[in-house]
Amino acid sequence: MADPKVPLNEATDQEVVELAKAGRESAYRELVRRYERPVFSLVYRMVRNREQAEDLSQETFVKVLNAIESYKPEYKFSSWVFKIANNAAIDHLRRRELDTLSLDGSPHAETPEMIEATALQIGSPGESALDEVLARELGGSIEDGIRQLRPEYRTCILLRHVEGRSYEEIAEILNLPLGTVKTYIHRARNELRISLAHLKE
Amino acid sequence: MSGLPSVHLTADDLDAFLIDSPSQAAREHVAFCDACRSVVQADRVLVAALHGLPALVPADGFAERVMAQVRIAVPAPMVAPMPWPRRLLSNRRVMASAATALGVWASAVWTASNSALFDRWTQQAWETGTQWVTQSLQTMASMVTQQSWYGTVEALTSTPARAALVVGALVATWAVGVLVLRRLVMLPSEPAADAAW
Repeated sequence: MADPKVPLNEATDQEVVELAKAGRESAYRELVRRYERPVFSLVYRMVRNREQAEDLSQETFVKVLNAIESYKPEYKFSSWVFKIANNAAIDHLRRRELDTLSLDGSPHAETPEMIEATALQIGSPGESALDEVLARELGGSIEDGIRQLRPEYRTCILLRHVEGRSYEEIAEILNLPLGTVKTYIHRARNELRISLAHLKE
Repeated sequence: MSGLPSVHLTADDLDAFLIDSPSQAAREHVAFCDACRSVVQADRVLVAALHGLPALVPADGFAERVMAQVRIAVPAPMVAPMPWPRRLLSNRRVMASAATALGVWASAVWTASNSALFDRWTQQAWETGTQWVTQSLQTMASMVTQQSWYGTVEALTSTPARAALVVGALVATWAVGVLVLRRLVMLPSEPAADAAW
């Protein structure tokens, strides 16, 4: 059982889940705080639409938190969250065609207010203006390369090299054999190298 | 960055280069193979760039919107253990057993203290019972002997040999009946041709 005296931000995921199961609202909020960025980042990079990514991320957390009592501690909590987020994104992709990527706001935005409202906020403030522009350019190219990957490659490369998950955890999240995950990641890197080849010049 | 030159390294070799732990053979190969060296370098740049992608942030109030739809788990209330007398009293099976045991005990005590009366009652009950059974048997016997078919049956079983023959015939008929019934109610060993959906 989790020690209620341990501060929530220092507790492990399992301990926070135990506190949530005991009915502590702050534990729910802590789980959202820990995973809102990784989940939103993954879902956004899968569906390429801010509004839909928000809805799908919200749906993911509501599903996870409302089923917190059925969570089995022998699995990693992060694997469970990413599995549900990925399933939500994949289901969504099956239902619609991909929108084009825009870091500067939704392509459907018609007024400056809508463009501002739909523009992406990135979580690493403090860069100089030039760094920001360069990072934006490189980041934009990589984001574009990721967008062109098949959805299963995209999930694998994002979980492995953006979220830093192990091959084993990715296999668990995606319900795929370990060998398949390695193959997908290898192929995704090959395709990304090709799509970013122009940057060498 | 490189395109996709022909690579002689395996996917595991390329992964090993990303964490700076390639095998000696892979290291030696990369030292003289330009194509593989360029892939290893490109992979490193790519992975570093992927690591550097910013975390994206949902709009303000995201957590509030989530929490508005979440049902906070209500833990099962801790029930204080009941004291044992109340626990026993609340158990119906225990109460029924106790009532039965009490009844048997009271009966035994009463019998021991009223043995003369008990003996008299037992004697009366025995006499009444045997009288009732005898009268019933006599009534049934007289009813049977007054039936029209009784004469035929009596004639058929007048000697032990005839009686044995009749009993044998009845047993044989019963056995044949049982066999026929078993055949009729037995399930087929193979499904009928039209049984598939």
